[in-house]
Amino acid sequence: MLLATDRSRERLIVGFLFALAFVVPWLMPSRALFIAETAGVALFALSLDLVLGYAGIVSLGHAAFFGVGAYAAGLFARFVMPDPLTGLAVGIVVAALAGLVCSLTILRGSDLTRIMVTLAVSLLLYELANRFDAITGGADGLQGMSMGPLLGRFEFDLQGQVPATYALVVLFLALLLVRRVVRSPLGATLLAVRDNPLRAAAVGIPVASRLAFAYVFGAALAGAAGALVAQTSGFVSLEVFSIERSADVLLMLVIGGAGWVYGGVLGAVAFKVLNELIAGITPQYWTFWMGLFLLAIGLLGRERILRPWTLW
Amino acid sequence: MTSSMPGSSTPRSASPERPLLAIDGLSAGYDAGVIIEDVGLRLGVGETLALLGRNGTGKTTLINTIVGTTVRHAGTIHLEGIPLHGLPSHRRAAAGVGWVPQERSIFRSLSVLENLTAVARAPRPGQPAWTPERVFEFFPRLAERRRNLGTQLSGGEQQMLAIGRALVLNPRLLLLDEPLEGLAPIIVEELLAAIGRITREEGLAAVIVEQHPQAILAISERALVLDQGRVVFAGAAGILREDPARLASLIGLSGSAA
Repeated sequence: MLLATDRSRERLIVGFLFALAFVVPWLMPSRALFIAETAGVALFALSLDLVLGYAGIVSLGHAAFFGVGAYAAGLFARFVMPDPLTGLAVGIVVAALAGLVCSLTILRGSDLTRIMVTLAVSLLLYELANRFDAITGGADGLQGMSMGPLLGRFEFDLQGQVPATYALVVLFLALLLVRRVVRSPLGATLLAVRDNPLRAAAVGIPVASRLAFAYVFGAALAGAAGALVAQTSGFVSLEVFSIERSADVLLMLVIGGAGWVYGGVLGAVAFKVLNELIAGITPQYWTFWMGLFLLAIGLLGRERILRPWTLW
Repeated sequence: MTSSMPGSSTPRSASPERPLLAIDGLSAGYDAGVIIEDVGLRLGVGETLALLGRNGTGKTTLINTIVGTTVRHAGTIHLEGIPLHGLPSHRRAAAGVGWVPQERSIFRSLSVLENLTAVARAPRPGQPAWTPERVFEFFPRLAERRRNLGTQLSGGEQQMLAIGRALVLNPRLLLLDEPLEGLAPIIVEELLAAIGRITREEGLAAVIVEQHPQAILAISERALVLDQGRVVFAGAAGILREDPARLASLIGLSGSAA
C-alpha cells in the first residue's frame, strides 16, 4: 500500500491530466477526436487492469469484449435507436454477458491455458464478424451509424468536442467506480487470490466466484470502452477484435503499471501521446521508437520514467 | 481415557455423542502418495488438542487435510455434524475452520488491515464476535502497523496477523500449525499467552501442532501423537505432561523431552 502523501500526489497528477483533457477539445478542436479515442482506450486499459493487474488473470484476448461492446453499440445505433447512453448501456450489458460465458473458460487451467483460450475467443469473434458481413459490414466495417444527441440536448459534433467530453466523463466515472471496488474488502480478496489462490481459498475466500466477478466486471468495462470508441468515431471495423488491439492494451497497462488503479489510464495516455508524437515525426517507423521506449522501461524501470516523484 | 483406537471419544468431551470435530479412518497425502493413514480423532467444544510427533510424521498433512488442500484417499471429517471432506476449502472455512498455516502466508499485496477485512465474516450466534478492530485490541502491535504491507512485519507480527486472519472468520475450530516456530523466546511467550486466552477465555476449540511439546501441552486438554502417519497416542494432555519419559519415547526426543 502506498503512503498517504503518495496517494495525494497521484490524485493531483491524475486530476491535472483530466482537467487538461477536458479543456483541450474546446481550446484546440483539432485534438478533440484524439482525446475521445484516448479516453476510450484508457477505459479499455483500466478494464484489463482489473482482470490482469488485480485478479491476476492473464489475457491475450481482452479485445474480444472491447469488440463485442463496439459492435453491440454500433448495431444498436444503426438498427434500433441512436441514443448514445442507451447504446453505451447495451454495449456494457452484452459485453458483460459475453464475459460471464467466457469466465467459465478461465476458471480452469493455468496462465498458459488462459492465454490460449482468451486468444481463441477473440479469434473466433473476429471471424464471426467477418463472416456475417450482412450485419456487421465485414471487412468494410460497420458504417452508417448516426448518433443522437447526448441526453437529448448535446449534438455529436463532427469536430468531436461533445464526444470527447462524453468519453472523458464516462472514463472518469469508471475510474471512480473501479477505485472504490479495488480499495474495498472485495478488492482485497482479488489481490489475495492473485497472490496465492490456494491459500486464499483455505482462509475462506471463494476463489472461483472472485475470479468470475473480476472477469465479468472487466468485460463490462471493456464493452463500455468499445462502445465509446464506436460511438465517438461513428465506425466499427474488424480491427476491434484484432490481436494487435489486445497486445496494445497489454502494453499500455505494462507501461502504466498493472495492479495500480491509475496504471491503465496513465499507460494509455503515455502510449497514445507517444504514438502521436513519433508518428508525426516519422510515420513509417513509429513502432521502432515505441519498441525502444519499451526497452528503456524494461531496463530502467517504469518508476524512474513515468513516476519520477517516487524517487524522492 | 487413553486410547489409540481411532474414533474413540473421551469422557472429557462436553458432549461425547456430538463432538465438534470428528475424524474417522482418514487417509490422505499428496497426489497418489499416502502420508497419513487411518487417523481418527474427536474434539469437543472448547477443547484444545496438542498434535505431536517427530518431523515428517504427517502432522501438517493432517491439518491440511482438514483444511482441504491435500488429496484425501479415504475417511471422513465432520465439523458439528457437517461433512467437511466433500467441500472445497473456502466452504470449509465458511463452515468454521480457521487455519493458521505453517508458513503464515500473509498476503503480500495487502496491508495488515486488508489481510483481515478480505476474509472477515459475520459472527456465529452465541459466540463472541471477532472483528478486525478486536484483533487490533488483542494484538496492539498489529494496530500500530495496520497500514503496513503484510510483508513489512516481523515474524512474530506475521504470526499474530495469521492468527487474527483466522479469528475474523469467526471459526468454530482453530488450526495452528507450528505457531511458535522460528520466533524469539519473548515473542513465543506473548503468543502462547494469546493462544491460551483465545482457547480458554473465548472457548474456541483448537488443534495445535508443535515441535516443542511442553509449551503446548501446558495449555491443552487433549493430545494426539502421530508416528509415520498413524495415531500412536490419543488421550489427555496431562498424561504426557506428567510422564516426560513416555512423551520422549513417543515423539523420539531422546532425553530432551522437557
